[in-house]
Amino acid sequence: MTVGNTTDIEKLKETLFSLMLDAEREGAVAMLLGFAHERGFQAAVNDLLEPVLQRVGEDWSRERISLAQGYVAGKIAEDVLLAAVSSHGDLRLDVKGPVVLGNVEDDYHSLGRKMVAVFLRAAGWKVVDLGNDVSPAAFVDAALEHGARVIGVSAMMLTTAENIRAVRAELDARGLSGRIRLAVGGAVFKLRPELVREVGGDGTAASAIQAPALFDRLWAGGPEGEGT
Amino acid sequence: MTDVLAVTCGIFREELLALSPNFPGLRPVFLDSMLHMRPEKLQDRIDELLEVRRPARVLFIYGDCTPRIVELSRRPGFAKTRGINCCEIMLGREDYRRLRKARVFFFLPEWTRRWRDVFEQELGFAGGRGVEEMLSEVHDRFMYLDTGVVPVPRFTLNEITRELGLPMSVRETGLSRLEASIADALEELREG
Repeated sequence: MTVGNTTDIEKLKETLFSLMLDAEREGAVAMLLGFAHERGFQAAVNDLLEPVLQRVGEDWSRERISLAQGYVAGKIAEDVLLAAVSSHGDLRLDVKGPVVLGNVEDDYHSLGRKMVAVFLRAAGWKVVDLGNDVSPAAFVDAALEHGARVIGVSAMMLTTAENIRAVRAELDARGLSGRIRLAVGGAVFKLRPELVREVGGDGTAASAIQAPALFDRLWAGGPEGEGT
Repeated sequence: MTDVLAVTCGIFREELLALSPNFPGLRPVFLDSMLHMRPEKLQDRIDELLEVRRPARVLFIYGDCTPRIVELSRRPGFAKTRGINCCEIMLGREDYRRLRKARVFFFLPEWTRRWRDVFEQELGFAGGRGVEEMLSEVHDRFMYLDTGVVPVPRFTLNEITRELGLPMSVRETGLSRLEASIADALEELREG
């Protein structure tokens, strides 16, 4: 592969997007690694992977693509990150954060959270993933242990989203609200954007791909994310 | 009690029909269980139904599949079976949580019959590409919840295991928890 001008990059993006939608994981990864070989992993992520993932994320938000396609896109990103780590390439990993992620108590819908973790890592964040059904105390303990200034809590349904209130209460009880920000996400927040505030969230993002921008803002203590 | 409109997920159709002699006041309306995958459409269908029927009392035989169900069930004249989803309704909270923590993926009879619709059409895993890996990331095994109303579909269960790559076990649940959950919700309606 020889990458020249902007037109070439646009063609590559289009090809990568098609490979993702066709679940051609190996082909997509090979293409990205070829690009990384020529230009470096940082360029492969910034110039090719991220813009295509952005498009996938927008289509996901509009329900134009299936869960399967979104999943494959996430796995492609994960494969490239693993390759970057093992090759000790130029990709800046673990340069931001750390942040803590998990599904709220009683919630076991982990795919969305895993996708958020992939996109955060691709954007240079160090992620401490606590898994499913995480208690409020465990979220806050992990944030303190790792020095995280943002906790990301995922919930699929209204009743589990309401459990996020207990995470906010735990932060309040320990005098940490304001010092540790609360990012919330999951399907129910699309249906009920007002829930972000109701459960004590500091911000949300419309899709996993938009999570890095939200975490940047929250980490900096700046304006909150969409839907707030 | 006067008649109660039972807005019921189609996943419970056979089970509710089996229990109907025990609940003579219930007037069930079944909605397609595949609406679980499209919560906004499910909300719309529920709103349309309530607009047309204008019932005095409503019982949702549902999990928390869309916020509208939960919000309505908290109002006077409405009630809902207790449980975050249909599997918890059939198993009870403790067993459901224990098995979920053990990374179990559940199949109820109606979705078992439609498993290809779920995985291929709704989730987009046509041809099975990627589905095995996605499932194995978050689940270790399948469990068929035998409600006792229809014969255990052994052939289909074997097919699911063969194509999706996880072992399958069968657990008898019967209808006792569903029946108790409906009875409790009806009691709430009486008191409310």
